[in-house]
Parts: sequence; C-alpha cells; structure tokens
Amino acid sequence: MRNFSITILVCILSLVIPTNSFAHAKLVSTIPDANSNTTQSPKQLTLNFNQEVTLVKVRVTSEDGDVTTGFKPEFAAKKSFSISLNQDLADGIYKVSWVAMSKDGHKIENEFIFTIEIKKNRQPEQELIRDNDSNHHQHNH
Amino acid sequence: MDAFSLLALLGKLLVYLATANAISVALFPWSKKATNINNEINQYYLISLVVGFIGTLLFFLAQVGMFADEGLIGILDLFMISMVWSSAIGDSTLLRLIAITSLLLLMIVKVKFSNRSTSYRYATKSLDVIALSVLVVSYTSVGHIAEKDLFTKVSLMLHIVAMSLWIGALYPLFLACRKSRGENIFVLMDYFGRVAITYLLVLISTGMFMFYEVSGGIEKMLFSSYGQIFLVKLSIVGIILMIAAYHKWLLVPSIQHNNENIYKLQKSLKVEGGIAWLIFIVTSIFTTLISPIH
Repeated sequence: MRNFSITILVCILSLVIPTNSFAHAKLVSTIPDANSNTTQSPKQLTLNFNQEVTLVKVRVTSEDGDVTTGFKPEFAAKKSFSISLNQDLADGIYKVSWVAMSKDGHKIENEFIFTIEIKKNRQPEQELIRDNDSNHHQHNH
Repeated sequence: MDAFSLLALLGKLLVYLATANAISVALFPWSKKATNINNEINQYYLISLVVGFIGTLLFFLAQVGMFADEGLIGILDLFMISMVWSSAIGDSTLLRLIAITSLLLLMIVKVKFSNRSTSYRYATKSLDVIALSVLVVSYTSVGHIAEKDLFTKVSLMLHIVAMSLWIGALYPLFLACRKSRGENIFVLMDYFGRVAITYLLVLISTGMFMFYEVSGGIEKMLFSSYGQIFLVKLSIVGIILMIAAYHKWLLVPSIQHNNENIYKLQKSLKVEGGIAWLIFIVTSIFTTLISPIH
C-alpha cells in the first residue's frame, strides 16, 4: 500500500506542477531617471521592471506633501507602467514610493527621487534674452 | 518586522505543521505498525487539518494586510483581497483550501463508512494521495522556488514529502512510546529508523540543491542574511540529526533489553519534536521574510 501511495504521489506531482523560469523581479529603469535633475515638469512617470509585476501602489511626495497622480492599481501584471501626473510640478525634490507584487507573490517595494530645477535653469536663459535685447536696443541708437 | 509579517509567519508555520502531520499520517503505515494508537492518530490528523485550514487563511489575510498597508482594517480591503486572490498567493491558497477540505471530507467518509475491502482502501488511499499532492504542489506556486525550473520544483516537493514523513511522525512515535511496551515499540522504532535514512538522504540532497539554486552558490552564503539564516537552519538540522542517530544506534537497540529506556526515548522524542519546531520557525522566516537577493 505504501509503495502504491508513493507511486501515485510521484505520478501526480510530475503531471501537475507548473513550469516557468525567471529571475527575481526588480525595477530596472524609470522616467525621470532615479536621482536625476530635470528642467521640465514631467507629464508622467514611467516605471520599468525586468519582469511582469502587479503594481499595487505608487505615491509621489515632495516637501509640500502628496502629489496627485492618475495611478489606479490593476490586476494585470505588466513590465512597464506609465502614471500620469495631474499637475505641473514645481521646483523641488520628489520622492516616488512604489509597492508591487512579483509573480511569485512576493511584496517588493522601494523608492527613488528626482529633482526638478526649472527656475534655476530658466534664470540664465532669461538673463541671456535680456542681454540680447539691450544690445539690440543699443544698435538702434 | 510588522504585525502582518508576524501573522504571515505564523500562518506559514501552521501550514508546515499541518502538511507534515497529514502526510505522515496518510503515508506511514501507522495502522499496521502501531495499532494501539489509532484513535489518537485520527485526532492528531483532524487537528492538523483544522490547523492547516486556519493557517492557510491566516497567511492569505496577512498578505492582504501587508499589501494594503493600512493597518488592521487593510485585511478587509475588498480590492486588495481580489488582487491578492488573483495572484500566485491566491492560487496557492485555493489549492491548500481544496486539499485540506478534501482530506477532511475523506476522513469523515472513512470514519462513517468503514469498509475493510481492499478496493475501498485503495480508492480512499488514492484520493488521500491526490489531495496531498495538491497540498504539496501549492508550495511551488509561491515563494523563491516559484521562479525556478521544473527540476527545482520537484526537489522542493520531494523535500516536503521527506520532511513530512520524518517530522510528522515524531508525535505519533512519542504517543506509541507512551502506550506501547517492549517488543512492539522496538519493531515500530526499528522500522522507522530504517525508512528514515531514505527520508534523510532525500531531505539533505534536495535541501542543498534548492539552496544552491535559490542563493546562487556557497560563497554567497556567508555574505547574505538569507545565507546566514540558512546556516542557522543547517546547524539546527545538525543537532536533530545527532538526536536521530542517538535514537537509531543507541536508544532503540537498548529498548530490547531494558524497558526503562522507553521513557528515555519518549523524552528524547519530545526534544526532537521541539527542535523540529525550531526548524519550521527558521524555515518560515527565510522563506517568508528574507529574499535571496538581499
């Protein structure tokens, strides 16, 4: 009886187990890049993973508090997620915290930051325009 | 570690215990080798299945709470429940609930309609084995092994079956020591000692192979928390192996000449059971809370 049981067990196990092979899920790239400085307010965030995951939560925060995003969790597992930003972002440091579920059911979470420096970069640009304007004015005289 | 991680750990621990006990009761020939503890074995089986059912639900709800991340109320988040249910965790939960419920129903059938015909026994045993297979397969859809190939998954299942046949037998053996005397207990323990060598070989070889597959090599063992906890497990396994060897080669042979040694064996089985619990706790920690990539 014992041999019979073990034979059945082995037969069933070899028939029913799923087969797939992949590496651990992780975030591989983002737009804007992690730790990057950008001179334009991004219209959306993009998170790219090395394998399909279910994105459960995304939260964007700055010194002024939470930033509203168009993120809605979906059941479907994907490798790439685009999350619209519902407002123009002002200068500052932004932290993006995310939570995802990998295909094996593990909770993976992390965060990254990016910086927006619109005014700082616009200032020299504006000064240059002002200088050009004044030069032009002088010529007319 | 937050409350949900702790709850998940407890749930997994209960499922491990239930699996070990259910497989041992169903596959080890207790009814032939230890007839005087049949009632206790049935109670042990029933309690194990109920514990497994509770553990499965506990683990699932803990995962929901963990993903919802909104405190205790998070486990009632219907959207998160649906999300976790539609994931690999849900698949494994479903398989476990189906398997445990089927085993419970089969137990009721066997108690209500006891029939001694060979075909009846083969039929119920086959159904038991199918349900147990579903229970064992449920381990391959979640966790670190879910990412691996067929061979690694088969290793995990063999590891679970071998572990169950050994660890799940400790309490029935303890009961047998309490109720049996002399030759009976020697025959049972001697038989278990012989088959346990096969269990051990399967356990160690599949365990080492899976560790290699998941962690990526021995050199990484010392430098990762996953590897370090694995080493803790390995040390505890070393202790339990020494106890098993003491039973097989010293204590069990001595029973034949001295009945008093049955008490010693009983005590020693209790210690072995305690160490088995420790192994389950450590395994739950490194399969639930720690990633091999840490």
